[in-house]
Amino acid sequence: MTGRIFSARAEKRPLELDCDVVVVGSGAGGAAVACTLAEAGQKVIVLEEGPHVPAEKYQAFRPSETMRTMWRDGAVTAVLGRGDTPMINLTMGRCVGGSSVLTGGVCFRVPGRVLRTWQTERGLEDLSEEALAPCFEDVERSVHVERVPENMRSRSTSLFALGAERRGFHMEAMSRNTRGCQGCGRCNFGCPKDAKMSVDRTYLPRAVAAGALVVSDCLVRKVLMRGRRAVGVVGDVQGEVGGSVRVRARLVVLAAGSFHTPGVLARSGLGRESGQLGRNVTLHPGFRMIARFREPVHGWQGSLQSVYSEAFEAQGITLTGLFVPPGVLAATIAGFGPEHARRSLDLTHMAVIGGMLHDEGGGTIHSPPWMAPFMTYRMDPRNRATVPFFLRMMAETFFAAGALEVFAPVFGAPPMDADAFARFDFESVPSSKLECSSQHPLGSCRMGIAPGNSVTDSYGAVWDVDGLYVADGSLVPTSLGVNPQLTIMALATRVAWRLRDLPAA
Amino acid sequence: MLRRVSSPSLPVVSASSPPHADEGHWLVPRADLARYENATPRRAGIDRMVWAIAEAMFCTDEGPPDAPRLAWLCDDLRDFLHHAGPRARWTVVLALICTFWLSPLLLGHAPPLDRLPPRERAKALDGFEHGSLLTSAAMLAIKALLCILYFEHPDTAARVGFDPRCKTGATP
Repeated sequence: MTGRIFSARAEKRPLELDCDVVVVGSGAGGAAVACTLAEAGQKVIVLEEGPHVPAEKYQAFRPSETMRTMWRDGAVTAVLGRGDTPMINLTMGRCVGGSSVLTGGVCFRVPGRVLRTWQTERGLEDLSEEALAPCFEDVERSVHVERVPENMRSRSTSLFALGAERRGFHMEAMSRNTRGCQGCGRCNFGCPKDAKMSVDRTYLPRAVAAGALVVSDCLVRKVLMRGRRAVGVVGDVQGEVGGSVRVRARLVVLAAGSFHTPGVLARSGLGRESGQLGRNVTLHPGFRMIARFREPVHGWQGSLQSVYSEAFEAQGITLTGLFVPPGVLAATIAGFGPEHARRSLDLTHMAVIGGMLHDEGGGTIHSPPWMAPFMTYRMDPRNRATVPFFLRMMAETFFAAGALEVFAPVFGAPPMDADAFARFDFESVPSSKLECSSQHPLGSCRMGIAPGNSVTDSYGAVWDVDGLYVADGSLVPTSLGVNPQLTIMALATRVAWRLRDLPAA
Repeated sequence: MLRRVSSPSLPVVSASSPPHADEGHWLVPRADLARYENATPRRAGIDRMVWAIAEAMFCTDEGPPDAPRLAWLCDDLRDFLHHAGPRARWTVVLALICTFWLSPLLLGHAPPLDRLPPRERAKALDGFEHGSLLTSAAMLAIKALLCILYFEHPDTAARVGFDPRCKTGATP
């Protein structure tokens, strides 16, 4: 088989294909599996719901063009809050390469404390730091993980780091999958300089070189079964003309992400025995703080994300430097008309910091057969109680660095100087007024050691089904507290090594 | 040669390369804006709602944005919704309808929004932003999307002093 990437839309007739392994999804997990197995000599087909946008195209996109073409639902996906929970804007990729193309490139291994929880509370004793180290090392080589040098920090990030030093905590340099970053500050819209080593620049070209077929614009609906064995998948060609796709395979690997993998299983009538399918989803709910300084900041000039801090891990908070495009900054300024226009003249003086909560799994993916999946989420009361501290800490850090005023993530809140901020009663802000976002849905098919409380085993094998595996973020059994792409790739690599070494393979 | 992405209104990628060399990839190439020079106000469908809201949202002390910029914004928003899929389309159109028809009521005025002068409209939108969960969510969706698009216009970027260069000095 000669490897290539092509669109299912280009086919005039229904697509019927045979292979050793069909991989559903071409993001961080699916690409790692496809590459490993294709290089091991297996005939691999990858099916991707989204379009194939070659790097030379997305490098020329403006941010909104990436949003409309490569982000799921144009980035307007909302997670419905239940109880005392804000509505959360959830952004995900929908393209060949998946969210990997649209991340800030941040790479963390699973923190040791999280692995210990997996071992002690979830019984996953084979997932120790030592056992996972070869997987992480392999992934880090493949996607070129490197430390962000201090001279690539943006002024926005440096100002927050200065405030942090003055308040007694330190921002650490983070690692990212980049090579030759020029600090264009827009990684999450596709790197314009081909410097981010996302899977469309690393794993997928290797998989194609080894003979894998990557079929874009193909939404997988169901797993085909023969008895208790998965024998392929069926799906629909995306677009106005439509059409069908049927792939027969010895092994089926679902890597459609935490949002879609449970839907494929549910529509196939699989993975439901434990009652955990689509449940326990963690999000890392994120909050940002914007601050205005007297000096120009030009915060997009520098690595989008370059530092982090776990100084507030006890409160379940991880801080990460970031920036957002001018239009997003403008949208956070309260008001309309002349007042908004005057304030937008200060966009170049604004700095941004973000952070995420190491949350409990309060999310559920709903996959009704008649519509696309949607998600509800109930924030754990302990996480919710942390939010006022979280927002104050970020703002006070900016004030310590000399910020004139801050823009809190509260709908309609005016900019506040230090005095106004000190008087602001964050405890009484209802959840419905909080601006919250997430990029890390995890855990909707969590792995475990028994069919009673998990969907798969620790190698992603779906309980009670032969030949069906999960290899994406939906395996992750608890919140990580750090960006997950490296973990997803490492767990997927572990699944792929298992499949590569199966006797039948 | 890059292929043109199918779109009824706006070329997403121009055929020649490099497509955005003059302003960097943050902004719309000026060549794509030439066809709007003689644009006139739009008074029907989604464009009517977008025009009315954007006129108020981006009104400065000198008055509302000119017709070419608003006409481009209407087209770019339609292109966005065309590509972004049905869920985004329904969400944004519903939010536009709610804002256009309901926001004047908060000020005690009869709808729709474009019956009010731009500065009164801005007050109505402000009321909507400070309203209930549903009205603030609708306003947030529209404000975020329109701001993201509007600040990709090179004249808007120039007005706020946005310099689209990388840390190394290169153009993205």
